[in-house]
Amino acid sequence: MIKIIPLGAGQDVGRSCILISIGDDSTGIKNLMFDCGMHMGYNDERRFPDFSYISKTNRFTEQLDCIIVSHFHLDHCGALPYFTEMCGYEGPIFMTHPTKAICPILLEDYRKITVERKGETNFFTSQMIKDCMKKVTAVNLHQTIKVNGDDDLEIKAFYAGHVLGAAMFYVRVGTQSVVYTGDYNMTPDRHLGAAWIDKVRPDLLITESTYATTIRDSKRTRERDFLKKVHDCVTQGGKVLIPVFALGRAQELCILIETYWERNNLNVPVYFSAGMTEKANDYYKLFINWTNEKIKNTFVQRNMFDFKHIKPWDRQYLDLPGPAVLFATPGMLHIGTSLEVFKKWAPYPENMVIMPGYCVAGTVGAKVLNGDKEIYIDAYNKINVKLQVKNLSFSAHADAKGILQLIKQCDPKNVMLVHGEKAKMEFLQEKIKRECRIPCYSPANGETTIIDTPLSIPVDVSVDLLKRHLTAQKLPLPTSDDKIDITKIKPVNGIPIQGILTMEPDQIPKLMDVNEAIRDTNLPLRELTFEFIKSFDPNKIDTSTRTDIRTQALENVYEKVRKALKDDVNEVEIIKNSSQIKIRSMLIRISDKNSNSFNISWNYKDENLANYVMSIIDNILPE
Amino acid sequence: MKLHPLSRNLRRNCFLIKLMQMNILIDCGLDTSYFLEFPPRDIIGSKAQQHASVSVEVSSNISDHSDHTSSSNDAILENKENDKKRRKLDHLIDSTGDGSGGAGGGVRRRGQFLVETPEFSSIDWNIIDFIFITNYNHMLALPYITEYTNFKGKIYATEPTVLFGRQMMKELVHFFGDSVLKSRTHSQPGSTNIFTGVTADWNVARSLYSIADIQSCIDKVRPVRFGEHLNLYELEVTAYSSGYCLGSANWMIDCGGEKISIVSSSSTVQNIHPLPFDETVLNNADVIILSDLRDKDGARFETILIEIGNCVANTLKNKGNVLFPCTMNGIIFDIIGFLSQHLRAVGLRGIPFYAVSPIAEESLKYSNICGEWMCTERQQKMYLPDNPMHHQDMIEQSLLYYASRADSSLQEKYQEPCVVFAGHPSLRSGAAINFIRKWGNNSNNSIIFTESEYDCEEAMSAFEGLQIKPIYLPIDIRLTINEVTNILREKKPQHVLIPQKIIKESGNIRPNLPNSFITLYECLDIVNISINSQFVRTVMTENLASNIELVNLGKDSLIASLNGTLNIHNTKTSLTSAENQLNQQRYVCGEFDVSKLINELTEQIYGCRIDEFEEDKRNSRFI
Ligand SMILES: [Zn+2]
Repeated sequence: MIKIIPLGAGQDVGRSCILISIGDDSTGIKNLMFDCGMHMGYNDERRFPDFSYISKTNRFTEQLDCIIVSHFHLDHCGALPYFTEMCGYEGPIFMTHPTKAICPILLEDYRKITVERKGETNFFTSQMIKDCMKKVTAVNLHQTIKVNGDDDLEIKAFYAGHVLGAAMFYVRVGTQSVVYTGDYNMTPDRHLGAAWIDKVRPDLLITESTYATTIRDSKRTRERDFLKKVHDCVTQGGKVLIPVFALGRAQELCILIETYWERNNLNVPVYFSAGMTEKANDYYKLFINWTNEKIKNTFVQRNMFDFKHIKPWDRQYLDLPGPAVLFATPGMLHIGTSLEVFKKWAPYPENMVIMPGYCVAGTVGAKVLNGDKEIYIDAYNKINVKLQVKNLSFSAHADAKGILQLIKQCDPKNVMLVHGEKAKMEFLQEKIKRECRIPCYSPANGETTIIDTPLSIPVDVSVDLLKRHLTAQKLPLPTSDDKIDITKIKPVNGIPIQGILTMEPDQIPKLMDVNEAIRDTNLPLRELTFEFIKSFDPNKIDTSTRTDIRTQALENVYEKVRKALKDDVNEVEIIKNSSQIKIRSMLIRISDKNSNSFNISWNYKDENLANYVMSIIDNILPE
Repeated sequence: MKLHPLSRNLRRNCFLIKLMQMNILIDCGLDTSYFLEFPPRDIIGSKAQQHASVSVEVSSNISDHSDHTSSSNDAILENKENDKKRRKLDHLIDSTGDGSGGAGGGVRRRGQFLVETPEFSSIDWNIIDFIFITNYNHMLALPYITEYTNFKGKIYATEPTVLFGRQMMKELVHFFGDSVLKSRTHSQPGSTNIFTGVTADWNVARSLYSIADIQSCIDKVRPVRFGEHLNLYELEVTAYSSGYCLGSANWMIDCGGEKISIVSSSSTVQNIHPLPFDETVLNNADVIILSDLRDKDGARFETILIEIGNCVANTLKNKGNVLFPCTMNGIIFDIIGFLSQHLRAVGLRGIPFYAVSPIAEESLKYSNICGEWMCTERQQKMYLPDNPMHHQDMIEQSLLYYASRADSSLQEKYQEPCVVFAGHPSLRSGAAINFIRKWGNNSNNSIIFTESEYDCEEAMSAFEGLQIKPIYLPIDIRLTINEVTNILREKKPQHVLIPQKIIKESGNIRPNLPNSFITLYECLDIVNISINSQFVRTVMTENLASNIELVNLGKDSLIASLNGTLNIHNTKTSLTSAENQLNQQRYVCGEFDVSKLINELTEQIYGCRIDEFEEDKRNSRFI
């Protein structure tokens, strides 16, 4: 049984935090938390998940086995220092290396805005962020981690695209498993590869659904569109503002602009608002292995994150005449450089703002996207919006097609949608139920979902027996492929296995080969043979030639049995000669004494097979 | 399990392992120790340098000693002698010029360096399923397999092993490759013969592969990460850090519950850049195969490092230059970092370092993006983000320059006194020779040998009468047999396999590992190991369990015949319901009540006869 409660991201975007309980009697129940995010839309206690669901008495460390953080975006990790340093959770936390590196930078940025600009107290401190990060265990992609050294609780990260270091996590407890995607992108972009997961067949896939109803046009078209808009605007002498988040989309768009500028020999200045940018690019340079193949393979000759055309922004450029392109943070225009520049450039129709990402409701960015012509920043300040507003979906989330693609890739038994808007989720939920024919859930925050998983009973199998069966199954290796393709290596599946199961009180049942059982457990095994005389009516035999009627009857039996066994049981050898047929221990032979009859004998161990064969014989040889 | 070691050189692994029906090759090292027996490359074929004072030790393997003549004082005579010696040394060179010479048709062209592959002649490449590489020092013979045989299996190595392995192959071909081969069209598999030369006792000396072969070979290697469980049919194979160099691995092969650990070049030396040795690979191992052990105890790593620092500082203070003949990877990264700090500490600021090798740029840059494969302190730097490799800081501060050759590209930034790192450590090719020629006649200069692989004196013996000061400070961080046994004592493996040559007296080992069988192996041995593991844990589904008919044997022991389906998925086996009940075998066990059986049978079936063979078959049960 798997129990899931979203503390955030249930029918909502923001504050991702999902609790799961998973396990059975043999493994014990494990409790995990996927992501520990904050909500951009709130400034009160609603910005953090309501952790009292886990424990009313703050005994979080006892209650939770671990926290897994999917990527560095604040809506996935923003509440982490609060939870570890102010609520007292001291258990393990897992994230990838780039996430561990970049996460504290964003947390510090968030802390500064909240405490220093908004003047809030009772917030986590810089030291708390540092202390929190010390508790984090960094993981590599595909590395299997046994949490707390527990053989029954394993986690494994898969590449998720989306942002540098973003990962999906596979969690296995005994025979039950869950995949949590975090945010992911199924199409590669200029700097990151596409998400990819093995066919892990989890009991439950928890997937984001930000773009649940969107099917986006091709990446190329969007890129061309973006470049054309920028180029047109600067050709007319306008200024282009591109509000971005410092890490992620920014690097992708910079690579786009950089290559376009170079190819077209443009000299219109391109700026990037200072601060985190350079540092952000340093992260990309050190974690080249997490970007895409092309960047990886060429980085010795040219590091894609050393931009030639893109210069740091200086506030004094604000009033310079002439065209320019500026990437400025933050992406939602709610504060900082992007808002400052927006105020300046918004009143002029030759200028343009390109919104490449998602904006939380209530932010200036959301209002701009909404087409508002007058925007109040506060009670006294109003901006007249006359510049051109373009929205280009560059947000690296999977669209509906991508989500379905991921479902096919990992082949889950159940799907749960989170991190999306309620109405859109409902649409996708129906689509998944219809197209994939699997149950799909989309619970609200605080709502408990229970998913039944098949019970499984532990058994100790003798290595001898296991080997005998595996060796019998000589597997064909794929023939020479030019490219090695891991997906062609298929797990061994469906080998018929036979054995003796023994159970002693308070012990795990043992499965072994029959001979092993006799040898090791002194199993008093007896031989029991049945013999049967089957007579038949010679007039009812189908005969085509003038051969001996008994030979013909034997031939008929052989043909029918062979055909039936071929369809129903493979790997059964049927041997026939002129007077008898042998199937395992079963012997059908023409009787010496009685005319028009067969002597049929078998060992009790093949009772099932013998019964089956007898029923066929009765059918074709009526008495 | 069968083990078949194929390499004569203890520092170049190659093992064939047969496990169930799988054939696995571990490593395929290339023996390059013969390089020392050839004259340095810049001398060959160069008439202008015929007068250079060259003396080459004629050594055991390749030529016979019978007509070895001692050197003469007469210059003219000496030249003749050298010529003769060289020809003798190169006895495979066809001195008659008509192409008929050389035993078995193995003719070596003038100036061609031969290398020795492991003994591949007995291998049927068709049946090799997998190759696992432990580190880049043990993979240089790989192109012979992938490009010149019909090998169709899969090859696995860690990401850095793939990167650095490619670089090492490239360097080798640049230094010692045959220029004729560069124009050779890509050869077809099966044309092995053109590569096989002949030496006196080993039919495997070969000329080097081409640059095109390298890329094609490397493309066939699948990169993996530490702790990534590979599920290859019934095997679960995992690489764990060996602490020796970036990405160096020890492999654990789990074959249906039987665990075989392959321990290659490993190090427990503290404060070096790679991720430390991970003992997980030894846990619960049934068989441990040890290889590439250090054969003698040496000075502590820190002591040698300080000694190196002092030698370099003293040379520089005397206005001399320092040459390190080395390969541009591994421990040299630690030496560069240490030297830079040491020189600053002793007041020698701004001394330029030069790394001269065809792979210097790649190697220096790639190593810096492998932070995830480094020790904790370096990972911490990466998180900041700082360069985890100090040499990257030096490159950015113009304190370290790289060049592929000692040519004009280096000239621009070149200034003395300086410290030069240049290949090849054998001093038979590469820029190291240029610097020896340049600095050889000044006793203020030093040449420091830090590599333990090539005998320093033999390497220097090609250059006679030089004033440059040779300093031998070899660093060998590999585990010694004593260090390994100390680690293994706790682990209590069933079997430990140790290379014969590494142990002078095995009597010293056995008392230290009282719980293990110790087997010493030699090249070309076939070692048979039987492992006595008994049971492996798996699970069965509720569905299968509910169909099992248990029979009580008394004393609460239950028994049943089980007919199911064995599935292996994601390393986990499970038992599910059988697809066909006809396969089920049934048994009679316990005491047998004949009269009761007769009674019951006669009640139901007319005319049955029961033959009784034993008297006391009572109270039996059907399972
Ligand atoms: Zn995100």
